[in-house]
Amino acid sequence: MTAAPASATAVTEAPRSIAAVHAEMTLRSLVRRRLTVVILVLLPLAFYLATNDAVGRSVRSLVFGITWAVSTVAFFVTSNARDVEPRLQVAGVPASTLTRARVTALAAAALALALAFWLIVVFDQDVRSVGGVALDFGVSALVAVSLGTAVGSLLRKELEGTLVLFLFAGLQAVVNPADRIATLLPFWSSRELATYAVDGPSQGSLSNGLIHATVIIAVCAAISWLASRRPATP
Amino acid sequence: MMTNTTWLAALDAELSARGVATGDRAAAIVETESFITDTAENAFEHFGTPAAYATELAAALGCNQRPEVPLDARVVLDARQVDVAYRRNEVLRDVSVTVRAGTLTALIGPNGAGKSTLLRVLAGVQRPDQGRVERHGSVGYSPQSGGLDDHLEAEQHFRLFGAARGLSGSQAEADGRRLAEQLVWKCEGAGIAGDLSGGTQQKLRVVTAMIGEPDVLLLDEPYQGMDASGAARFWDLVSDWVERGGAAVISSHDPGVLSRAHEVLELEANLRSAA
Repeated sequence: MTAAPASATAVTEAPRSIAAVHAEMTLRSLVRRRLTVVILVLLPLAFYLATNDAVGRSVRSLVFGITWAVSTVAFFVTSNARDVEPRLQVAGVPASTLTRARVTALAAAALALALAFWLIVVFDQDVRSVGGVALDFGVSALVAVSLGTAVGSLLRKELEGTLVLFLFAGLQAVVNPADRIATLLPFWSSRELATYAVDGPSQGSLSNGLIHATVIIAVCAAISWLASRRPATP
Repeated sequence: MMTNTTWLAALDAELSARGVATGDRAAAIVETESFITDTAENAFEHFGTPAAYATELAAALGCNQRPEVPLDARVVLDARQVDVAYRRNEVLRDVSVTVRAGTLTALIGPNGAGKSTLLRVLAGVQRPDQGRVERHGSVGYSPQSGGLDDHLEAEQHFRLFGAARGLSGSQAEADGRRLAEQLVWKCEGAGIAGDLSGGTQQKLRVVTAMIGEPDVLLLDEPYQGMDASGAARFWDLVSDWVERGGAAVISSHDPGVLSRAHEVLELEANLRSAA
């Protein structure tokens, strides 16, 4: 159509990619929920402080708190994206571009949180392998983003999604990690990697943890992709 | 009882919705205002509802003729034999619509007739069960509710939707502010979307749909909740849009939209087929 009246503002700025702007806005929207951010930090911290008397227990509790908090935040961010992203798709942006931008922003936020807690552990605890703890926190944060995104893509109602994440977290807490069934839980890798970092290779397996995390991330990505292709409902 | 000021603002909106030109509208408002000031009468008691009086004035000014569809204009949106059902509830059956550049299509019908569903299908947000939709140009879509990030400010929405159309941040903000001002909304410092009133959120939806000048606008009850002056300016904005070659499909309960529309598509509850 014919151009609208020219704006009085001098325009010299180059356009940024929609992926970069969407990732930025995802983070701005997240940070704007101040209470959510406080709870995101307080939940793992509370788990850590409650078990601070033993190194292994505190690291495992902390990573459990990180995965629970991050997956819940990722779920709500995905759920809320259902408002704006369809309109951006109408404007011509592929759904895959929007999802990648949103997940990248969430992953950056999750890794920043993992880094902050890793620094706390490094200064507060005498762990066997600080590198192993860093790997555990980082990988677990990424698995949590993937799981929260997949659940958010699959379940449209917030209560249902929250309960599913609660189910995963609850099972993670009560199932014996040595049982075969525990490997079916999404965060089995975080416990395996924590054991590797705290107790050494004789107790935990680095490769098993990494393979499990990779499989879970791939499955979650596939679920998110399939869910994004579903027709809309009223 | 409606005050004279409120009544005049509502009359302005109603005249605008009936396609009365800005100059004629201003003259009618000044004349009516002079009359009620001189006579010290209550406008509602003397003239009745603003809608009824606007219909009389519009008829007197010859504004109730529906504009003709320019058949040589480019087709920008074409939907054929669209069916949509939710489970066993058939919402749309065999609905077809062709939208040309420089035209306004009104989508009318009672609640539950499928207006919002049809707009979602036209926008591509929802797949029809049967039928096809062809879009020959860019589309801007404003839903009846939702469609915003409650935790982002207006300018951040402008940048996001502007980026989707390849605009720079400053260009998108400038366009967004210009459109917001045309809807009588000063958006600077307005806060996050979740804190805005319903009518202001509606303005934000409309502005974000229009940023970047898409070929077709799909607006679902766009002036619902807007104040009278905002609704009047909305129609000015749409008229200008259509005159400049843009196309718009607007769902509405307001009969005033009929006189402005080049085409009217009526959906009926229960019957659920295009008129």
